[in-house]
Amino acid sequence: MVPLEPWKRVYINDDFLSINDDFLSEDKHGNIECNWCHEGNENATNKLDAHEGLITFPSEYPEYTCKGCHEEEHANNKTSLHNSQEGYFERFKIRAGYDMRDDGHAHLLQEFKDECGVCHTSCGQCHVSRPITVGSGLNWGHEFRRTPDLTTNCTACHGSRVGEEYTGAHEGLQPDVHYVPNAKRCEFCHKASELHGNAENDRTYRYDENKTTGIGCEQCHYKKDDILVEEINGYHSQHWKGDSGVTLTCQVCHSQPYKNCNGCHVAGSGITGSSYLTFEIGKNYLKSTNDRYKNYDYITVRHIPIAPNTFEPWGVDDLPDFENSEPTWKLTTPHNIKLWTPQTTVEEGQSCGISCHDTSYYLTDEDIELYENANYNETTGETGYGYDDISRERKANKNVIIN
Amino acid sequence: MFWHTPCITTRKGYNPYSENRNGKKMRPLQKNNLYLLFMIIALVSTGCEIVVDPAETGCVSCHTDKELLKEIADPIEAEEGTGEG
Repeated sequence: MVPLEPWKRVYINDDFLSINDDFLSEDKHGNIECNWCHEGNENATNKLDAHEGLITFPSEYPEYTCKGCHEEEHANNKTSLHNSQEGYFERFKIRAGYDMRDDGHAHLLQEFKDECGVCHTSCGQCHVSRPITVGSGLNWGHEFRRTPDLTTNCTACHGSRVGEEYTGAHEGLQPDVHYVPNAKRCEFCHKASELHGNAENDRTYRYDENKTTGIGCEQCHYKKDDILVEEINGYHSQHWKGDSGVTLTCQVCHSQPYKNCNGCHVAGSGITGSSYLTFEIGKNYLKSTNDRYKNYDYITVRHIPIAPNTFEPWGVDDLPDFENSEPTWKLTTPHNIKLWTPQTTVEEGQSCGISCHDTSYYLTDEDIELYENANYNETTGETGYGYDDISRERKANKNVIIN
Repeated sequence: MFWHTPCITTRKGYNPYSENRNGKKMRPLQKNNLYLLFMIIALVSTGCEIVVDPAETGCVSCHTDKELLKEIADPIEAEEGTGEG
């Protein structure tokens, strides 16, 4: 995404200010004097002096700004994964065996804030400006919008996987069937209650089941022409209803290949190498622990860029629980849904399973090695983190691999 | 004196009881309008000295001036990004 020009980043349009004169307008922020939120030197008469003590992003201090009027959202937002980044902390904890926020790990927390913390989202980065990670800048001339913009807000951060998949940016792949430019946007499925969090429900994982979870496919596609979705065709009765004894998530049949990341974070340590497109079906390792996914036997899985030495530059040489905690091929819900995909397309007269059964879609031991070797670094001539660690990677994915 | 139009302190859209971290009460942004003009004339005619609050007129006067901003806005170092999500 091309950054905004410098002037445009700070340009306030008349619509924001004319809100003052519109008693019916939902957005009242134009009523508030500038320095109540932004502080600065209110008695100055030139730019340099006026900007002394300026708070560029007031919603980084929501308790003194947004909370004044939006108390409920402020309370909920404390548990929003966008704000708390609890998912990062939790994943580190279960692999390292300790919480980096505990006493004695202050240096780790600082490293986290410096690198991972930049992806934290405040109210303003969704409702006023572009996210800081993409250069920020006022999105609508300082107007506050209830719904963030798909391009300049949501996929500004969630771009390299969700955004590219959803808009069909990958060569040879189609946009998600739900994608209609300038129409159905992220909020169609991801409601404010999910994005803002809920003060009564702490979450540490975006797929956790609770009242703030996003909607599922079946909430819209529960029936067609008065026929329930599980009876609509043989595929659904076999694999969604479970007549075959095996149940699949919708994405197993209706997703296209998606991006898997290798280049990772933390000063480029851990896994290196470029990303790649693939489509892999794995066993549902969450079946016994996740209420939302307890009914499925097989899921689509995506490789995530974590290795035992990912945090080496922070002084963490190894993640001792790497192979005994979570897999590195994890549940994914790709945003490139189509009715007809390579899995659901068969020629007339062919067996219904020919496009899926006995194919290479299933994550195997060989795939673990194949994709780790895909970490080959052209500069150093080395693979991502050494062949020896493949055994740890295999162990980490023992509940996902299909043999 | 610093002077704020009292008539708009009851407008909706802000919380007059809310304080920022300096303990400052939330106040409405002033607007130049006809009402303001009459108030200024009235105040001046009664001997009041009007001192415009630069934070209220100053911020807006620069940040709504496209040409001025093109001259004085700081270049940014933000690099092109596609997001990491």
